[in-house]
Amino acid sequence: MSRDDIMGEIARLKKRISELELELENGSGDLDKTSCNNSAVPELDLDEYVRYGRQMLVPEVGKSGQIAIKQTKVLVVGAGGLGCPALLYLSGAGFGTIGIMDHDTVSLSNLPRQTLYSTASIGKLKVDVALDELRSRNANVKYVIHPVAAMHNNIFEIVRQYDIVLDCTDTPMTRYLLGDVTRLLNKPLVSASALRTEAQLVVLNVGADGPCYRCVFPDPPQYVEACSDAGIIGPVVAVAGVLQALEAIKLASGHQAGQEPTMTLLSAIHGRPWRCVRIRGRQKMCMVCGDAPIVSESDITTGKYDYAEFCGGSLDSSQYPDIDSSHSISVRELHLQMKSPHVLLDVRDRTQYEICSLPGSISLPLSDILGSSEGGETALAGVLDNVKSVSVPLFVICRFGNDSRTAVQLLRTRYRLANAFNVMGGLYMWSEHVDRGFPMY
Amino acid sequence: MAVPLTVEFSGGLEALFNNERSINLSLESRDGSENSPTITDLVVYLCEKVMMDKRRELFVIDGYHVRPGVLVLINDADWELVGEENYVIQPGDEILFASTLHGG
Ligand SMILES: [Zn+2]
Repeated sequence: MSRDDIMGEIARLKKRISELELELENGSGDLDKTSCNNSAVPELDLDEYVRYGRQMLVPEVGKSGQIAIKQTKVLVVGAGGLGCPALLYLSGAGFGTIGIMDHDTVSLSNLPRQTLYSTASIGKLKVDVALDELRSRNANVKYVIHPVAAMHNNIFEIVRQYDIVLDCTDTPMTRYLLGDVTRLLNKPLVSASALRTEAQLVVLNVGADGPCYRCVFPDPPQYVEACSDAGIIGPVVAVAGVLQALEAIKLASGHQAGQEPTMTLLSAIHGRPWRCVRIRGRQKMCMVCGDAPIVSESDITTGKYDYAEFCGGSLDSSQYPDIDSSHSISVRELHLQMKSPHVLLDVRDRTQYEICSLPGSISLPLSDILGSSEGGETALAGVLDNVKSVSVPLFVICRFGNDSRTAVQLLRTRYRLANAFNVMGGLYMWSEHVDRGFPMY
Repeated sequence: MAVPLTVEFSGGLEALFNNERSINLSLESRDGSENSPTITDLVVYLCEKVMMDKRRELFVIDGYHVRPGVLVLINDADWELVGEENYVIQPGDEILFASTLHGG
């Protein structure tokens, strides 16, 4: 605990002591109240009337809603771009217990949108920083940290301790795992996701006919883009995280049951900004909650049901071809070779090329080479003619050295270009080993 | 009979369609009959006439079935609620193909 935390805690306890002394004087202590009320219902502390007053003034919440929120235990899985704003508002709203689950540490690129963390947090465990930050804002909440990744063999025991779960994660595998576990344990799941300028939100496992994650998405996606590659605008993901907190408040105060299932889509820049679309209900054929479910708790905990296999190996770097070492060069070799005639092809997308590029490099996005039958091939033909006519080496570079492998394989097989070479580790390694002044992003 | 409709793409799918996010078109049944076109007719049309990108597998699999990871929304309703591929397109329909997002 920091000095400020201790001072805050002392102040809170002093206030609490004076409240209790006052109650004792007036002869109306908690004991008297609990003897006539249901002893399971927590009363609000005097300072909580002040703290949550604005929220309690709303008739849809009221005192009963506030007490219901105080009785609710909510788990936030993933303390990133969705989790941070969600946690801030869950804590503010006065949930009784908030679980924070994340195994990751804070990095510089998190700071613009992961609002619980500051420059001083870099390198620290997210759950530790989040705990301190949230406690300094509202110490009435009980916080529980889970500094682990959601895995098939730990997730049931954790989810069991909570009433509502927020999916603030970022990979399909974790999303399916969490979807199945919450369905099997019958806990409402508020699931959100975001990328670039768009976000999606859906409330699952609610009501007799409410769908689970797998009802809505029976088959795993074959192509997945991550925020680290495709980008994200901070407020877009934050809006989705705040909406998750709102849905949790609605669930806890009894404002969700009986609604037909919907999904909310935010498109911040293009087309209609908001859509609330009707989605399918519980599916008879669902593997987890259908009429003949196939996946049970023990299938998951024992690993008999394999999420990695279900989601396919396509989600890691194994989808990139192996390039023979004789067809690859290091960034240091590239640096030397750049003094002789050569062609350097940068296959990142144009937005990334505009952020930074090596002098003299030619921009030709991999998606143009792979996808477009017009522009890409024309542009590529120009590059190839140039390389072939003067027979100079063609070096292919990208951000991390993955897309460049795909490009080199294509150039060597489809275009029979025997002097195409992959620059291993891409611009990331260039900035590490050749030019530390070259920006990485 | 040609039916006018609006098709929209989001979640990254627009990249396959020349970064067009919204297109208006008039569609006929692909068997040339007087029947109104279905969603399958639309998907075939999009693949054959609209999509510039050669990577068809980013949109459809096994012929002309929309691949997993793409939501199809017809007038703001999941296509599962209205007959999926066999839904008969009505004049003025708004059909959105949205890639599901996973970032967080
Ligand atoms: Zn289900």
